[in-house]
Amino acid sequence: MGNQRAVGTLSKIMIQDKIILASGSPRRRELIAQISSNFEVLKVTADEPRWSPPQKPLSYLDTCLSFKMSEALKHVVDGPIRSDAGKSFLVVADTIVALGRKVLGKPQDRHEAGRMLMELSNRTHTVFTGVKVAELSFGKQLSFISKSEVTFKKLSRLEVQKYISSGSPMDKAGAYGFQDEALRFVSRVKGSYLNIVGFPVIEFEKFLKENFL
Amino acid sequence: MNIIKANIEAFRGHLKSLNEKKGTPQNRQRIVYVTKGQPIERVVQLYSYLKSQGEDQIEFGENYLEGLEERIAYFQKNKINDVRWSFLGRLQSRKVKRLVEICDSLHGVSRLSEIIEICTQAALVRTNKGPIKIFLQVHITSADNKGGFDPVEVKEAVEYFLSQKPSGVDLVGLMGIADEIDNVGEQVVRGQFDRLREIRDEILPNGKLSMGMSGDYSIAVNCGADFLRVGSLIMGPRA
Repeated sequence: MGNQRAVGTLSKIMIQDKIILASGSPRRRELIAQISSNFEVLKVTADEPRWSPPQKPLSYLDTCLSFKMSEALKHVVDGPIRSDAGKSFLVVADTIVALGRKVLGKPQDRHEAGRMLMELSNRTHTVFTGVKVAELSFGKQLSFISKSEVTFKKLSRLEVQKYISSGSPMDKAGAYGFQDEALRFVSRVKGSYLNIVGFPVIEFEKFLKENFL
Repeated sequence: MNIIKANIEAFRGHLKSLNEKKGTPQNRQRIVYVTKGQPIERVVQLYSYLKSQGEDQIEFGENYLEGLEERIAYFQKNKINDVRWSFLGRLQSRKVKRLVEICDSLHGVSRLSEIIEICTQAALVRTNKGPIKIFLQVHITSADNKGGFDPVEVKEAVEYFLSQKPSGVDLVGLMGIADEIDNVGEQVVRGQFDRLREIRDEILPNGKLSMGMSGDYSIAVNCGADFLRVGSLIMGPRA
């Protein structure tokens, strides 16, 4: 397990350097706030590349991270930042849901959402969260990937329909979100819960310390 | 006040004799006083009485978030800050954050998804407090309506929790609710509590047992309960 260190102690070892998080996810923001008091959020809106076979899930995740990073870098004002207070890190993240060799993206409509959820029913899928970090004064870029295996219980059509009616699945990869009622579909998890709820903050902190600080 | 005093004295006396018979220490069981549905004045009376008896770890239990928030606010307004609040009801995902913020313990954790949400919220909102204590509820009756993990699920949930080691959360033990003793009889209730203890011994040997309420606490004590959740026995029937 990579997650030996206690979550509750995170706040005592704050990272002082500046973190710029290019992500719209409120949960990611909240989780990063646990390790950094010096961070800001950068809004980047760009359509992600779409997955198509036979691209492998991890290669697709890598494509997404690189794409997000290049978009985010365009938005970092005045080019590379070098503050006297310390380093600055630009951080992008992406979470994908993979079923075997297949990537489940965001559903196009309710019908597709239903099909995806029934596909996940009673099976184990993998949630990969990739995090890419760029150190802004020298441009060093590195990434890591956190992996969790998630098993769904057997879902009934009624449960799926009810969940779709809530509107939750439509903007989420794999047609479900770990911050909503879909958590109830989960019968088993292997790997960090912080990964599946949005951001593997403990691994991230370790990764920064080992590679950048 | 007199009724509460009389009820607590009777309850304590009975507990003492149960423990003596069993050869266990007199204060072995922690008491969670269930205050749901009681008027706030009675809850304050209970607090005052317990305080006058020198109790320093007073624990009150509620089943609804709204009621719990009201009580905490009332106590805070009156500068009483030494009550531990336990949530005994079923968790709803959108209420988990608030519960993790304000409670000392959650006795009815019944799904893996709840564990994940509690751990996440604890990472977010309990950084300046000690960990929140949780009990995993195990389904020990034959009826479907009491909620909880089944014995296989709870083993997996415990293993998962221990693999994650989230220090914002302490897994204290297991909780169970037996069938109504009037409906099924003493033997059945005893069997259900014994079952919970056996599960605990197998999957969480150092874990505590939260089992036994007003109607069946004496059986629970005999079966090894560590936490008793008593309400009407002390407070009288709910309003």
